[in-house]
Amino acid sequence: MTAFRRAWSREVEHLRRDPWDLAGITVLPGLLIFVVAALFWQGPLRQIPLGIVDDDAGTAGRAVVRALAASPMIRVEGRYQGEAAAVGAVRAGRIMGFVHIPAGLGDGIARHRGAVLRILYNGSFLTAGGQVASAAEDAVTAALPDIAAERLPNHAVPASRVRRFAVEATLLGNAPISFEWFLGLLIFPAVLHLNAACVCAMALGRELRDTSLSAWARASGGVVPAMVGKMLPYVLAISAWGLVWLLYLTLARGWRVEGSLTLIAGGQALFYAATAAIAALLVAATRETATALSASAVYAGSALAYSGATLPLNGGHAFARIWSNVLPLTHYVALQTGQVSGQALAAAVAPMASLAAYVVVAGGGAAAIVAAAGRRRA
Amino acid sequence: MTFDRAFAATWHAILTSRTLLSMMLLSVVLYAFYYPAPYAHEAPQKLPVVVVDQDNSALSRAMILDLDATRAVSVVAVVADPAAARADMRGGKADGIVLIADGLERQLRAGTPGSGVAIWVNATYLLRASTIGEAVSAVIRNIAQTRLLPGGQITRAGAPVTIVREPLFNRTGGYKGYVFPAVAIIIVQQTLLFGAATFMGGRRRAGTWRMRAAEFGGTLAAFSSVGVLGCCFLFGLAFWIQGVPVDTGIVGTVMAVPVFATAVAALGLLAGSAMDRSERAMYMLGPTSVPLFFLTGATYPLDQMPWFVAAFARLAPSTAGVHAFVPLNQMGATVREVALPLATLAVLAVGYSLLAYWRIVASAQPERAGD
Repeated sequence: MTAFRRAWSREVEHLRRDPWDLAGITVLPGLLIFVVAALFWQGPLRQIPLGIVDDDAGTAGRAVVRALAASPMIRVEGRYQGEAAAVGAVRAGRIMGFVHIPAGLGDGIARHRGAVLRILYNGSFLTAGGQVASAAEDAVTAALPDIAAERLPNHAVPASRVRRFAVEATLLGNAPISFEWFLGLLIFPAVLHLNAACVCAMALGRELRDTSLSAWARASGGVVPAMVGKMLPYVLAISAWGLVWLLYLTLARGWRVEGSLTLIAGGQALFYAATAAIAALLVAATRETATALSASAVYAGSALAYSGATLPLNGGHAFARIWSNVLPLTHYVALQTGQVSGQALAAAVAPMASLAAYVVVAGGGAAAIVAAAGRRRA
Repeated sequence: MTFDRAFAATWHAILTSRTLLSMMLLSVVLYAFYYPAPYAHEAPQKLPVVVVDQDNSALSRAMILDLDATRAVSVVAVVADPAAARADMRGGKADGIVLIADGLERQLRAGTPGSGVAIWVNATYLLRASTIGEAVSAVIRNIAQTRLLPGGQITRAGAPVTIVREPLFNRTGGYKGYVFPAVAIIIVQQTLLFGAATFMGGRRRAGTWRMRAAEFGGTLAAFSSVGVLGCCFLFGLAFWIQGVPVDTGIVGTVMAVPVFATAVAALGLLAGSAMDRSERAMYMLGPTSVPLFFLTGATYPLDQMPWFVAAFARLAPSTAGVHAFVPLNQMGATVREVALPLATLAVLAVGYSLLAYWRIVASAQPERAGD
């Protein structure tokens, strides 16, 4: 126990003296939390600029434009003479897509001429482009029966067979389609993951003398408790920032966690402990802080892409699926999203066990390498 | 030290230091294959859903078969009551529930109301939710049009107007063609930023970080050339190998790449000159990569952010970089169409170079030794 106490107090003392190392667990995560929080402040997408190419130039075309303008997700940004001009505006970033209203739309509706209304959107900015295209399609689909009714002599549209299918879709857990809740919830743990990996690698890397931890191992009085004592201040600090983020989203921003917030907080601490264990293993194995930091940037920096939270990995190739399961963030995200959307406690056992396995396997591996190094030089 | 000797010495330092070599050159090659891998399948596939079939008719069974046949959805279970489906969802076995209510077939054939289809999806995973929703609607629309015409006769009773939705530029709407071109710019920026700051941080530690104007110019040019090399590799070779949609306005790209690289290299030298040691660069700048990617507006547009965040985002070369290079590389834009981001890049390049000059050269040598 004394080895643990000594390592802990030495580390805390060091943090008090070294403003740069202290900044890594105070100013840096604080700034990042502010940026990520402010970034998604608005939540859902609103008023995305959409262009119009109106070849109809009649009442039906104007009714379509009114319907589009009424959608909260759409801001009708400009009218263009033809598709070429509109594509130019998309390239220049002035609009995210455009709706081409064909000539004779009104006649088409009334006489069943099969008019084709085209919605073209920017596929290179797929999230915003896809959302504005869906909103435009919904708005036009909802407006068409009324537009048709206006054109018909008896102002009534024959019931469509397609419309007999009443489909009701309910979005559980994120009804307003908010990016704050969807991406915000995912991004900050990923940011803290790399933050934790860097500060922990730096903390152990500081003890390297001529690319060897043997001196530190001998002086530690017990490698495992000393390593725990050394890493604990960082794991606690980063977990506290994770908790601040959760409380900000739930208490300040009013989002609701259906499952257990305590379990998420516990899983988070375990996740950052796992990150610390991997950082220790990287330093022990590479015996160079810079290399351990670079390796952390590669595996933790792009872990979000491999977590399957944005694009699910079902159907991805074998390497992506296997590597996804090797990365700890995948398991933490599974735990967090599961609890946020009200999964049963039983569903949290597997991710918790996986996170604990990182602590044991990576931490044990690191301790074994360092202890062996200590014995060799002794 | 003269300009060209500083240039050669910096390249020599990069190529002989294992840290700088792996950080700035090898990692770019690694990322070109590592980053696109989880997006290689382009679209969400086989998302698990549970179907509650209360209708249990030929129509509902056909609907379930059609659902399972889509790329997007995989029916993991067909159950009779909603409680069982809810238990599956709570157990993490499914992302959504599709309820086919009793009397659906009768309603469709006779027009009597009271039935329908309901979908519950977990929207905490937004992309999964929208994918499932779209797949179910498409299946139902298709069934309505193909299977339910009275007596199998062809009528014109479909929707009077066909709405066609098409992505421009990234024509398949794939995720790799969407994410990787934007991430490539972050990859170039962050590797160069880390490298330049690591280099300067190391010189700061050694106490040799102040330079004369010529040496500063040579160093900046060397790091910029690393960035140019990274851009050429990613925009030229990696996009082609990865099968990312490319429609290059080559003139604009050739113009913009050195400007972008200079802005990033100068920012890296400036940041590194403030740090106490070389490892500090990765320590402080590493965790900024993910927020910087989202600050570019590639997923969540800049005009949706609060003004001060959008203004802050424009200070990062990657933001103007994404809005210049994605149109130039993927969307076939002309120089005129990306004039604004190009101008922003130029301002950043000049601004960061001047700041770095002021910090590294001028503060030590007020007489500004010439080259």
